[in-house]
Amino acid sequence: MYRWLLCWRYLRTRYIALASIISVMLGVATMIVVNSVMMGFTHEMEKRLHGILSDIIFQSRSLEGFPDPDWHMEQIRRVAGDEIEAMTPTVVVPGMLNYQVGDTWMTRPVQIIGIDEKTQGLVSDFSKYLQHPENRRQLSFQLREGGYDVIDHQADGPSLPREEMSLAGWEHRRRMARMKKMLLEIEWSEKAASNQPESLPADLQDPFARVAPQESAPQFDPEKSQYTGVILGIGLVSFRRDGQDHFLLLPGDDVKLTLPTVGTPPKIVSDTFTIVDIYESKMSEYDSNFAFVPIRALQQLRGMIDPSTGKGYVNAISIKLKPGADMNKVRDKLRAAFAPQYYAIDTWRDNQGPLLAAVSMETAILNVLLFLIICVAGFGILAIFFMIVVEKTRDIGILKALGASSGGVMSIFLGYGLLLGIVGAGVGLVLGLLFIRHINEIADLLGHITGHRVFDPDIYYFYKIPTIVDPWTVGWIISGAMMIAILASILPALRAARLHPVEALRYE
Amino acid sequence: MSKTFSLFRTRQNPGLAVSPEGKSSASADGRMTLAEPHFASPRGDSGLHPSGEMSDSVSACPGILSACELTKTYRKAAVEIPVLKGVNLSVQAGEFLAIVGQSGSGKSTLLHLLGLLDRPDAGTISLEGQRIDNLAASARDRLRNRTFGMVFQFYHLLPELSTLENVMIPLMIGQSVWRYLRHRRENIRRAKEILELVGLSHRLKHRPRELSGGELQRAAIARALVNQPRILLADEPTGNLDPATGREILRLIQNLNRQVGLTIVMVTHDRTVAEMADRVVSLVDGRITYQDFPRA
Repeated sequence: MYRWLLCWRYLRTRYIALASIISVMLGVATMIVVNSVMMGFTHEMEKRLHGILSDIIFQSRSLEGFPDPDWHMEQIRRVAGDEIEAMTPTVVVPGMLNYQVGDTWMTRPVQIIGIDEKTQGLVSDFSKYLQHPENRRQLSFQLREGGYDVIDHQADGPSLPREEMSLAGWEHRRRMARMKKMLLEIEWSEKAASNQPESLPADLQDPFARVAPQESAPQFDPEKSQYTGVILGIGLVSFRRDGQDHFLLLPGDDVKLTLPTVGTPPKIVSDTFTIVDIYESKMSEYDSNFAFVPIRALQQLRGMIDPSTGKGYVNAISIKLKPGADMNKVRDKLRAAFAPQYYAIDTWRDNQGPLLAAVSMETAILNVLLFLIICVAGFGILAIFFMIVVEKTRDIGILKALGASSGGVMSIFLGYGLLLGIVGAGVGLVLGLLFIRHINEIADLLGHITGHRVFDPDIYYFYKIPTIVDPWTVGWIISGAMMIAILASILPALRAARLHPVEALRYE
Repeated sequence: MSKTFSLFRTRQNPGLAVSPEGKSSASADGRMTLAEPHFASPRGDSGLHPSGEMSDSVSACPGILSACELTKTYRKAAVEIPVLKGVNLSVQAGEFLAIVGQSGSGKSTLLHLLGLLDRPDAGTISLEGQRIDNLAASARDRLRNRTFGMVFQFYHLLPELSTLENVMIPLMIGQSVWRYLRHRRENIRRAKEILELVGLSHRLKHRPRELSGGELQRAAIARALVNQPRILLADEPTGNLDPATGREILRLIQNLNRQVGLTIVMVTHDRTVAEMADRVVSLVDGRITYQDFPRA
């Protein structure tokens, strides 16, 4: 009993010891915050990666792909049919995107992905990332009349409205077509006025001429019809400034895609597509790289269709498993069944292995560093405890003279260390949780004070800092901090226990 | 002082009289038998007679507490300083014994050895004929807690605790947490009674630094008595007090001896202080050389 009484009294009367645990407290708070933010980021990233990639990706090792995806899907079903929910074939090919902003043509490298509009939505979260509510329900490569999201439907809080998106759709297309026609007519009339007969071929070379109704085939009217649909990543068509998205292109605009055909050497082919929707996965790597087109159109353009059978080649088959199925087991089964020199079969985790490993390594290193901070705090406790033991030498002698055992004296200081650890970890826990709760406000405030944004939505595509408080992690952090406080008090406690009562009483 | 009687009769409280282990069970019995004659006749002759023959009955080691041929040497930087060179001493139950010696004569060391705070290099210490100097640490802790009460020159109260808490510390040490909590009320009552006995019932909540020297020593005596020890060991209890206060404290100690029958061993360098005892022995050059009966 006297142990607890004395621990408690020492805790309440010795503020210097409380000062020594401030570092424990800060360490615990920082560890909780860092882990929560890292876990939030990881979770968000994994969710997106997984959402983009489907469970298992069955890929050809060649850009040419493999023929007859239906036969392959049948084989896959034969191997692991019980665990497969859905599959979809895709064609992936690197290419270039050209579009016009004002008077200049811009070129961007893209990953052109041919998808099956019926089944793509079944294997991944692909449709969730689209901007038209109808497309999210059932994907279509036909341009919608209007009704694209102005407010980001994925935002988990207030976000700046994308006013330009309210214009998108057929209305935008008609307006743009009329404007171009008008411009062209003005130019034409000017040229007609100047009466230069050789101006006509120059007109034909003008890119505007291509979409001008006068020059193109009479059956294509951009006010009434569209080219093949394409869904572009948001990073390709917009830029973000101060959290506000500015669009260079909208659904309804036309772009050109250029890509290599199959065959050796590949030839370059190019075609015009109409943007029908915008893809926003909030993973900037994907959002600024992906252009989705109907798989059949891409196969035709690249010459991937076998003229004798009419069946197309594909690069990959995305497989979604039934809930609860073991991803790695299915992957291993498939790996055993297909020739590894032709097919690469990976789970989404394997596919993004380096990225996920980098994030988990970052977390691990941060944890080690922060834990070292708490360890340093442990040495602070050690030093202060030694001081307290020296200061309390006489008291220890008295207690022993009154019949306290060495173990009892030792447990006073161990208990004191434990109490300090509990206080430090407890206050740290509260601080950390409060910090996480108000992390966005704190980030805003810091940004306001320093003028430098802590969490720049231009970079991260999140409006808020994602955080996840994992009770297990918090538990480990707290018990670790308490362990260090106890470990640091062992040496001083041993010293106190070993004090000879007579020597201790003589100490004045 | 009817209160004192009621107070000390509580030692028959089964919880406190129970011997902690087989070794001291005999002494637990002895405690009862010893206590009774004192209550019957607090200054009975039984306390004086054997002490008169003490000098020649050393080898038999009679009495409640006895030391035979105690030797103790301190080492200071490779120099050996012999402090006790064969001390023979016997304390009778209910006796008030003073040990007088110059500073450095080893009187405090002797008291520490008797109170089991230290171990002798040679010789034995017996409690009622049972050797106690070679007991295991836990048994020694228990004897220090229950059988001996210690009073020091510098009071040695714990500065973080109030007077009442300081007095209760031996109770807390002697009882497990659960037992202490179960008997908490009784423990507090007992500590308050003892504090009243020493005249400190108005200072229960005060911290040691708020008390005067005399009050501190009273609190220390209360702490020494709270576990109903059989022997009170006092190390210069008046050494740090002004003469008047010192006399009050001595009178208190003397009363404890006369009215309750508590066995007291006090060391002092002051002859006049020693005069208050029944019997005075001198410690010179590490040996008991002289004894005297101031009141005989």
